[in-house]
Amino acid sequence: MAQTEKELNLDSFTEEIEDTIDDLFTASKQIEIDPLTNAVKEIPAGSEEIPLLITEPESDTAAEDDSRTEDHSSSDGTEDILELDLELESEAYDVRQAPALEHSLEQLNQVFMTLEWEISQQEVESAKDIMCRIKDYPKIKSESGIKRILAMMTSILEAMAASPESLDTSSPGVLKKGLECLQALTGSAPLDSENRHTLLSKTLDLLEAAVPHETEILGTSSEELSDSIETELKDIETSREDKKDFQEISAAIEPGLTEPKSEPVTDHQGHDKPQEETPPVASPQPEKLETTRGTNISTRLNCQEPAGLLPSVESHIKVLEEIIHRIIPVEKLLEETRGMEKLYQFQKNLRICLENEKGHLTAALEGQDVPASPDTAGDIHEDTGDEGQEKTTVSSSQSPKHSPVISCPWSDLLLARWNGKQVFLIPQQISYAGSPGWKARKVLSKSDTFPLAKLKTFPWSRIRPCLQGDLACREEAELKGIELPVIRHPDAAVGDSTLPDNPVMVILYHKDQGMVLVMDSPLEAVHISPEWQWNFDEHSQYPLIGQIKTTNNKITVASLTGPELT
Amino acid sequence: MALIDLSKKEVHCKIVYYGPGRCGKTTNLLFIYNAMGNNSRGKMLTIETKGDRTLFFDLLPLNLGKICGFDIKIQLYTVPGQTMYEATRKLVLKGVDGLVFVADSLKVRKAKNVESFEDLCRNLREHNLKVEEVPLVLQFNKRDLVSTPIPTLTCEELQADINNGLKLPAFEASATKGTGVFETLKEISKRTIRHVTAKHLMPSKK
Repeated sequence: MAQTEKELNLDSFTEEIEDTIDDLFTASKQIEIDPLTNAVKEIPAGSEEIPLLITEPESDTAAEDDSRTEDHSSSDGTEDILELDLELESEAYDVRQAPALEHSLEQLNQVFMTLEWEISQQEVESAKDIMCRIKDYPKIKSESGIKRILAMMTSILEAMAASPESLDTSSPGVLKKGLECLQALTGSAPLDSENRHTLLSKTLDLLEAAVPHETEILGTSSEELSDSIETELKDIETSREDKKDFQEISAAIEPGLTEPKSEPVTDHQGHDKPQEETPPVASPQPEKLETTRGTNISTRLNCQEPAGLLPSVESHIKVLEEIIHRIIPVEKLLEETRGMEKLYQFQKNLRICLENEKGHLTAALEGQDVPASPDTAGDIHEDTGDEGQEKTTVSSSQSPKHSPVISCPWSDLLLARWNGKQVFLIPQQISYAGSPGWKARKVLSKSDTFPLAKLKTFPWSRIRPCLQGDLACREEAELKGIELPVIRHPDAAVGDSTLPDNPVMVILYHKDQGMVLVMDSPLEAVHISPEWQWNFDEHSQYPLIGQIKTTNNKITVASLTGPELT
Repeated sequence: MALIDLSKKEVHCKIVYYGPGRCGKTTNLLFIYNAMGNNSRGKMLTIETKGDRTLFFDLLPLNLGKICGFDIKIQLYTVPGQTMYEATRKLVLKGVDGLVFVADSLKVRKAKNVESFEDLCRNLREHNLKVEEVPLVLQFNKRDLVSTPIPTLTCEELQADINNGLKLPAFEASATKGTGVFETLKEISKRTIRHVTAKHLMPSKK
């Protein structure tokens, strides 16, 4: 510190920084941000400023939007805006006059707009009050579809009041969709029955997805719902029957698989319908459902295929894709944020798990076996294979961890692509697996050895927290001195150290032996099926030690030493 | 707390944009990110919500380059403004060196401004900091709405609500247009750098 003070004149230092701030922190181009979508639009230099009233609805967005569309047609538009704004500000709605249904719906619309802005108990209560009033209108009372929408909206509001953090941020938007549906169904222009059903079905789907699992539909007794909906929404119910069946099977087979969707469907469509009334799901041996927990869904699809099941699976795949798509940016952000390693790992595992499930469903949909798929390898042959094998495979699928290893010395391995080829790695040997930083990439592309010190993101960061396995037990000072050989794939051209587009650096280390491999893809956990065969190949080039013959493929195993190591 | 590595000659400062929900914190960062030259800004980390609320936080690293041999880096963070994300706000505030409090000029948000400022003071206290001790700049956002019929607060009202007795510098801004955005950023950056250097590089002057 003393040395720095001598070298540095702090006044001139801060002055220089301030000058730099003045120089750098300026807009290099003229832009404008759309407050609704965050879309950035560049404004050509010298263009006139557009009147703020029209282009800058940063405030009550939806309210302004609506009001503005009206304004263009009215001559005294500004007054309309003011009026609407004041209305939004008012906390209590005038309930002394019995408002018409349209007016109540409009009031509800305004409350929902406020909820979209921020969830507050007061607004939730207002919305519930208005909805209670709406329920009493004869037009609503007579239509069970509408009643059902209202019931679901009430459920969402209840959950919103109880624990807003547990709800999806899109919930207020979903409520608005529900309201739009109500407005369309009760409007003066009648919809034809086809449009009506489509709209109802679509809205019910949206609301169903938004209703938290634990909450029940409020304000409508289950008997009432089951009676009325069975008659009036028969078409919609029929189309969903398959979905429900599928979810029930799935719930019986693999509880985790359909968890997000299964409950609401059971809640809202079952309506206390006794379990026995549910059709036996075209299963030739329904009693076996109980005993085959963990069975791969693909096997079920292959053997049953009730009508409408495929669209249901497709819809599940879509939902999974959407969830995975939402997880990826969070995972990326956590990966790049210091101190969030655990959360990152958690998100990553979650994504991998969902991707695996998606893979199962996709494979099942295409009528394929699922090669090298985790959890279910042993199950693949269960229903498609001959009956003689059924007993043994069922027991192995019930407890995959304890399944007898017939030919492979491992029960779990990690699968990745290396030099364009699939390769298995032994999990116990992995000390590090991740995307290398720029320093590490530089070393990997130039050198045949890799000092562990290059794992550090910042000069002051530590190596040990990045590591696992044997290396994680070493002292930091010791780790700084460790340098491991970088092993290229035996089939790679000599001297070719080009890194793949998205390299994944893997450090294998066990009992004072170690090496660094650069994979083309992230590692994926795979449970080994008892049917797979292991062939040790002493002629393989290091670090490849042999091959595992899967159902329809041969995959090499890369290891520090032979299988006795693990 | 600022990270100062004398051996590597690096100074990292953390500036947090705080304020009630929908006040324009992320918009401030978005404007800075999009309007600033590529050389001095890093990649903005944000969870894309297409104009919806901030779910976690946003981060925009800025690099001032080498000054007197020191590599000066400023990291801009935002917090999620909604009341329910208090834990995240507290977490983001950890190690803060400078603060921008973005107040909403809409009249309907008056109470939310005050509530958020109180929340800031409370969270700072939990990190053993006082609001008077941390460089803090106020930004009165959405001033472009003043000329519209939408009811807005005057600067005097905002000053009375938030800046009462604190005498903090305040800037009028419109984050969507960029008005006042860089002025706020410059002021807080200068104050933060002064604070950090005085605190960490000049202990005798304390």
